[in-house]
Amino acid sequence: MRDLDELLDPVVSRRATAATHTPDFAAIERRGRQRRRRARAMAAGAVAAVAAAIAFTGTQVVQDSAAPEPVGHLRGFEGPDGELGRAIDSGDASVANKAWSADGSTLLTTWSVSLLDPDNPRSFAPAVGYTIQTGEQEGWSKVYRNEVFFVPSSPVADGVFAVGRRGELNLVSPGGIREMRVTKPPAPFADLDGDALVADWERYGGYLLIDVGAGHASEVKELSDVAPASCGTSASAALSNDGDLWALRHADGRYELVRTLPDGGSTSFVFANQAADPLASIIQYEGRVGVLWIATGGDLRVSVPNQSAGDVTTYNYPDVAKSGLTNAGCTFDAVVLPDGRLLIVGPSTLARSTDATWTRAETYPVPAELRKTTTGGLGAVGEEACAATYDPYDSREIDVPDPICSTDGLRWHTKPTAP
Amino acid sequence: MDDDFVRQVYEASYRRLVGQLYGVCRDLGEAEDVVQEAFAQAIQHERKFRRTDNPEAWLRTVAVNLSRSRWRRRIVGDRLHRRTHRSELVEPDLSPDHVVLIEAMRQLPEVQRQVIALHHLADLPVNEVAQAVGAPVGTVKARLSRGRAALAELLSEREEASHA
Repeated sequence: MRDLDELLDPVVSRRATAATHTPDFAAIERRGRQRRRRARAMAAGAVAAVAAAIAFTGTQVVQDSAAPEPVGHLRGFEGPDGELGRAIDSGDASVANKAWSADGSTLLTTWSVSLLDPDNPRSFAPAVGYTIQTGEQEGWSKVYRNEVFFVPSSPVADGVFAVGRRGELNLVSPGGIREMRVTKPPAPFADLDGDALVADWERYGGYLLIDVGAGHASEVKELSDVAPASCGTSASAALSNDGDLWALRHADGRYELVRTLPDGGSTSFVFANQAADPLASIIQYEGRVGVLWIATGGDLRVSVPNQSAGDVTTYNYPDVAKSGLTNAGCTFDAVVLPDGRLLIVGPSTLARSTDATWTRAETYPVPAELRKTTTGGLGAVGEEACAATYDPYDSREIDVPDPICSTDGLRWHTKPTAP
Repeated sequence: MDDDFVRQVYEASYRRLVGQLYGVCRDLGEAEDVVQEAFAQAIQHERKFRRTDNPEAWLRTVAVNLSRSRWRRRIVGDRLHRRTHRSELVEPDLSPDHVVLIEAMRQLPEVQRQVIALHHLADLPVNEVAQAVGAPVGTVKARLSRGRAALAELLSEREEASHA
């Protein structure tokens, strides 16, 4: 046997390199691009879920008066014997929200907990908590008292959620809970890195750009004056697959979509001079971005910027959003299906584009499964489009049903959430 | 969308990174898994990847992180699927002494095995090892020292056992 100094020789790595052949890049490229698409699409949907939940719960706005706590600290979950696990077992907790991560591997469930108020044993104090489940593993958070509502759950990456509560914003994954540092004041987009945008209206009044790896959340200067979307899947800002920031603006009677490049350069695309309903939503698929908006007369339009020519092409999707509101209380709800087709769900009519160009659509009655489910927004989960579910009345009595999912937008099935 | 930058780095660095990760993972197939996963993450976070000063170091850090146990468990689930995309596996042509060395390294604590593999077997300077494992240079030096001592003892025990 040779001496250790002789044995610890780079020849080992060189020979391992020599034994390796570079496989086709296409499969790896496909995996990375697919993941990027799913994460962004789900994040956009989740933003709307947050907004919708706020609209229905009517919860008081929590002021951010607490001093920031130490950051980057990993905290584990409690087990089934913790306070939340006991409350669930005893029936003192009900499901308020269920959301899948973008890759479909992880489920985050938000619970409303009824606990006796220690200061007044004859009344119940509002409390919340959440569980995270992946495969057969599950984690239970602490029970947070006197908090009626927090940002329910915004998937920001595979298996990772942004969960806000009073005084902090956390990254929650099966690996643990990590508090994010929120940087202020708003920084230029060109100075930031990020994986997803999430909305935290209560504490920050708008979007935060989340950098999962660094554990940072940043306010973005270019989004400072972007009006928050108010309903359903409406997203007034989005990150495109190639890392550009898109935002909706309304000024001087014009509605425009503003694209900000990673180097800070920007371009505006005017899509309407006057709209009957300011509700509009950004959608995207594989780098193609569009905006859904309601024109005078109630017709729904899909406008797609031509980034090289600097103009906008608009397609008409009539009769989708004219008759009242969806179950989520919105004019419409939309998602891009895994194959690139655009699915728009109105109160009674569903429109699905014939292909990924979004130029033409066919209409159908809204499927019964979607009509009877109170959804908190549509989003991409794995290879399906799913409707997250939530309790619009915060009743604390009835569990919300499991999310429903579809590959084609017409046939929906329950995605079981039991282990 | 243009992943050409990642593709160029892939073609230039893939085999070298697998070679460097071989000692960390103790298995060529697993080294390929984590390096491929690192490139998938580079595509997923292309904007961030483009802004790194040293893309290969970024990939190495990601791959080392992925090689850690909890991530390895997660990768295993995809392994069957990914094997179809893996290059045809040929074990490195190592001398018998080096095979014994790799076997002995399997018994080292993970943090010691990582730094020994990256510094001694992959010939990376200590500061680059520190970057890859996310530890201060002093910590890396201490792990190298303790790892070498433990490795010498393990090899000595093996030699005694073989003589007996």
